[in-house]
Amino acid sequence: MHPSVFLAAAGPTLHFDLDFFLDFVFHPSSALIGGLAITIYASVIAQTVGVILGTLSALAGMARNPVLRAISGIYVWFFRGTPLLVQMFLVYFGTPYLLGVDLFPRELNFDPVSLRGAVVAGIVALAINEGAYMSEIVRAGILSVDTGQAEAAKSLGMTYGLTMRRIVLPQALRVIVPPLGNEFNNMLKTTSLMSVIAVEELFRVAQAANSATFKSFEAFLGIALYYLALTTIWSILQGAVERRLGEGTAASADTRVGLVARLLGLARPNSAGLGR
Amino acid sequence: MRPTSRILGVVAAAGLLAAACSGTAASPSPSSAPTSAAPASQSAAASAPASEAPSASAAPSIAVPAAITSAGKLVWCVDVSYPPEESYQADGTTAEGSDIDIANEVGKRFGVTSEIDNTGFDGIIPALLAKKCDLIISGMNDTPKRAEQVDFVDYLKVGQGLLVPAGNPKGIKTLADLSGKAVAVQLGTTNKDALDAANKDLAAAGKPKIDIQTFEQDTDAFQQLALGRVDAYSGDSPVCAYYAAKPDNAGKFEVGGNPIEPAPIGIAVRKEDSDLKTAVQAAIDGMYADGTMKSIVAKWGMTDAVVLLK
Repeated sequence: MHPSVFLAAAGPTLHFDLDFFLDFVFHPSSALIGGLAITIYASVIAQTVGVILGTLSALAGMARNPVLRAISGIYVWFFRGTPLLVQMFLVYFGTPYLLGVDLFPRELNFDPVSLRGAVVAGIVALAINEGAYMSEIVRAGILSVDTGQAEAAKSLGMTYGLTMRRIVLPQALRVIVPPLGNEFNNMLKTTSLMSVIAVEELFRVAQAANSATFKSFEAFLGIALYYLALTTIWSILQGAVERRLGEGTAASADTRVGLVARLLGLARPNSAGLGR
Repeated sequence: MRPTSRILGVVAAAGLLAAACSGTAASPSPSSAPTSAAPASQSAAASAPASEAPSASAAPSIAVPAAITSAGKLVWCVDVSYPPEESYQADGTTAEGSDIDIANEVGKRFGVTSEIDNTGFDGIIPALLAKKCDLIISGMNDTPKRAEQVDFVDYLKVGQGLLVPAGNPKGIKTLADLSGKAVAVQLGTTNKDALDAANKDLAAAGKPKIDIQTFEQDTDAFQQLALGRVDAYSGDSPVCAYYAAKPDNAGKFEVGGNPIEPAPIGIAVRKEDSDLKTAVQAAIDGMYADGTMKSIVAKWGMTDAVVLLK
């Protein structure tokens, strides 16, 4: 038996195995380190692909072509309107039956690395889902840029693509980046849903530790601290990126939000530079 | 994982002690064999009023805890994803299986209804301890590690098997044969523990590890084999036999081997609920005495895959 710490409280005694907890958190098993790696790279890949999908969807949604607009509309409607968990099962368990071929076998080779089929399926589901949310965020960003900017570019003879790349999207970024940061914060945590398709990410490692030891509170609190560390580090990075993007604008003085205020969600709603 | 006579002895002793405390005839020594719990319930029957219908064998009356009687129901935590022991009918809401029949039979003998609370297996003991249910019946092995958390009333012995594609192309008969291959298994099971232990042995021998893929639901684990994503599925022997024999799967799978010897599975109760445990033990003893257990096992096609306790 591990020595337990008994915390006297008003009411029932609390049982907390401090030794197990500290060992779990500070001497992470190779499974835990592997889980941390999967959580990080799955978040980064899914978010990146999600941003690309979201940008394409936003542009399609504002296109003159009604077919493109319809595709974008249906995509956003379906993937924002259904649970990610359901989408994950559709992708991993459903597609082999639909297509008659398994897109996600045990190992998938992407030279020079090979990934587990389940990890790829999880990333695909996360990315497609994220793209639907990013589509709305990018659309709002593009709409926030005064139409005069695009008109001026056009009058200078710029093509649509050049206007978007050089004029509209860089200005839209100031509006897109703060919610994008929040999306990535969310993504770091949402990867835990991949546990249902047997991806050994952080949460699944805690589940395995729990079912092997029944130290439920210790294992899940331990994993919570790992997520908290990831989101905290991301908050710091996000703040730095936003300050950099905000430089040289009238609102920049107001966009500086302290770390504590950011972590506690005390940032003012218009601190994104909108509404000024 | 293996049954220890110590645990069975404690179970029997506790049952006898509680029976003695409830004012029935003097019991034999607690050091006797596990099966000696039966005489206690028989003597309880002899001294109790005959409330049962006057049918063939006088069913032993059971000292049901007052809390259960007043609630009018027994709530069972079951992970309903383990056919033929527990699974949902095609309607998706009606649970069926040998464990469900046993749960209903215990309820009937208690004079209350049985309610099935579908609970994920890896969280099923915490759910019992958090009083989300009164009992667990879920094909759960009575292991020393789990017995630190809960008490068990054993009701069958079940081994573990490996299900593989028909013809067993990779020749998987034992856990060691899985070296370097992929296997799907449910999280939180003794099957997973056995694979982890096999991996330690393989690592010590310098051989490639088993790629163990864990799933919340046993049916999801089996599905990985059906999709050809893994080389084998690890489950209890009756479950492997069930999947191999299922008409939908005809000619697709076979049992590669049953590498783990039959070990007791039990109904779990909270340690403080010793009255309930005694009553459940009496109900199980009664089901063995009148042949109900044997017929339930036969009904679900498990006669060859399980070992009756008596």
